[in-house]
This record gives sequence, C-alpha cells and structure tokens, in this order.
Amino acid sequence: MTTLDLAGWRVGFACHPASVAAAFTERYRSFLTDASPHFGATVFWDADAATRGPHTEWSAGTEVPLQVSGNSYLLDAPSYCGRIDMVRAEATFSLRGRAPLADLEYCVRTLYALLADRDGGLLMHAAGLLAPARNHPRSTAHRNGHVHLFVGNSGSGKSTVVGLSPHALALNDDLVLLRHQGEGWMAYGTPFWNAETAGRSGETASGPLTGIYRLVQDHDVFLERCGPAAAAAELIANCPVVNGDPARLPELIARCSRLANAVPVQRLHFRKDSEFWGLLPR
Amino acid sequence: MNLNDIPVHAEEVVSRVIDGEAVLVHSGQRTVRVLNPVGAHLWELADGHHTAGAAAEIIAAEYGVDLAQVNSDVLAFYSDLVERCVLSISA
Repeated sequence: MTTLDLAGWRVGFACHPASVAAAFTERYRSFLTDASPHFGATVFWDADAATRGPHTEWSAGTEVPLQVSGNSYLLDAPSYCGRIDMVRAEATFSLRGRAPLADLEYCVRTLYALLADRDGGLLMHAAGLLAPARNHPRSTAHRNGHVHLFVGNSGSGKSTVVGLSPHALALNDDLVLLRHQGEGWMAYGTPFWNAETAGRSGETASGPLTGIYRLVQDHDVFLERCGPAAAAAELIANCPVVNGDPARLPELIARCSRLANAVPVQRLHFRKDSEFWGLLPR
Repeated sequence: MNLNDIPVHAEEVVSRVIDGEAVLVHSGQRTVRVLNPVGAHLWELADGHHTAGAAAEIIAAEYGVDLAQVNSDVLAFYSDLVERCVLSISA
C-alpha cells in the first residue's frame, strides 16, 4: 500500500496490477508518507478491457456528476467507475481506459474534495503561490511567506500567473487544498498540475493564506473589491465536486462566506507581466 | 409569464442571503449567481405563495415607486430567472 498525504489527509492506495502501483508511486512521490492512513482505497486496472474497449478519451478536468447511494458516492465515466464510502472510510476504483493513471487522478481529486468537505476544508480550483516577505529571497518563503490564491476558469491565466512568479514557490496551478486553522486558513499544495505544467508536479509548498484573487485579463493592472456575496460566489464556483451536490451546498455556501470574511477576495485585473505583484501584500 | 403566476425556487437551487444580496447556486448547472438587494427581496418573495403581482406590490410600496413600472420590471426579472432554470412557476 502507498499512502498519499495531502494537507494532512492521508489515504492508503492499494493498486493492482503492480505496474499501476509503481506508476502511482512515481507520480506522487513528493506527497507520500510512511504514516498510517485515515482512509483506504483499492484500485484495479483491467488492461484487457482497455485494449478491447472503445477509444473514448476522457479529457483531464472533465467533471463527472457524482451519484449518491446511501453513504456512498458513485463515479461512472467511460473509462473508470468507483465507489467512495465516507462512513467506512474506504473507496474502490476500477479503471478500464488506456491511461489508467490519468483516470485514477480524477478519482483521487474527487476523493480529496470529499475528504476536505467532510472536515471543513475546501479543494479549490486555484493557482497557489507562496511568496517570501518583500525583499527576502525565495528560499525564505517557507519561514516568512504567505500564500496568494488566484482563482478563475480554465484559460483565465492561473498557469500564466505561476509562470510569471519565479520568486515564489508554487503550490499548484490548478487545485489547492485549504484547511481552517486557528484564526485563519492554511493553503496546501497538491500534485494535480495542469497537463501543460506537469513537469512541475514534484513541487509542493504550504503556508498561511493571505489573499484570494479572481483573475481578470486586462490592459491595466489593478485590484477591485468584491462584496461579501460576490466574494462567496467566486469561491463557491471554484469548489469542484462539492458544488454539484445539493445536499452539501448549504454548508459550502456558509463555509465560503466565512472564508471570504477571513481572507480578502478581490478581482485582480492583470496583463502578462509581473507588475501585479506590486499590488499584493507581502 | 403574467402577474397571476406564482414563482417558486427550482429544486436544484440552493440560496443564501449574504449582506443583503442573494447567492444562488444551481447544483445541476454548477452555476452561481448573485442578486442585488432588490433582486434578493424578490427572490425571497418567490416562495410558492406570492404571485408575481403581489411581489410587485410589496416592492412598489417598500420603495415608493410606480406600480405599473414595477410590474413590468418584476415580470422581466422573474421571466429571466425562469429561463435560466433557477425559478419555476408553481402549478
């Protein structure tokens, strides 16, 4: 069994066959732990089905609606299916596509969205950057840095912002985990990088969350305040999986409203240069 | 839609009023909308009991504006939300 630790949520994965287990370990090596897991997942890949099956490709980022059955969530996509039982803390994923690791990654993201939600956290579509204090080198970010989140739809510029910020440590350019701690929120990196930046998948960082910015591509660079309702709406819209479950929505709305009260949410109008960093607190 | 219709929140929509504005989340569409304070009030009046006309009378009285104009605005507002599947008309 290989145990993945994202933001303190530890899930043990037993992958079959061994080739998938080896690929899983390699893919997530920066996020593995020897500590005992809180949740168990069993993964099967039917290579024969992949060979004879339809040539259906399920593009990364496509979200499959979850079905609820008792205490379980059911996933059903052309190339994989699965059951996540939140009460028994166990999951089973069956993969039947030609790219089992890509399919499994979708299952892992879904599982972590549900785990975060269960414990008062959030999985958020956002690029996260841990910036060192002003006039301090990048190497000090782990000690004195603060995390800025950049949210927005696909194509809004999340990966661009990461590319424009070599002075900062990247948590991820697509999905970041948030946990409420003490008076504030902590942001944690994940391995769920966009395909075009998969080469950075070994990077990880975490830190206290300072600001959340909805990206708006513009000719001018400025910050625009969001009202409390608009701020909550921006956050809700960027919480995948959970924002499609009517049973979880009331608490999600309340949680996002609390997050927006605790951490400023603003629209960041930016262009393709690093000038926007001059507007952000550090 | 007419003033005798009774609007009601669609089943897939979860809402919450935050600082006078309403946040509407449609779980099926995964869309999120924000209504300004007047829209939020009209949203709360779309409770399956008030007709569109009754809602317009309440808004006209509260804001001291011409009822004929409010009737037109309320019908346009509710019709737009029905088109977006966040409101339905009570049978």
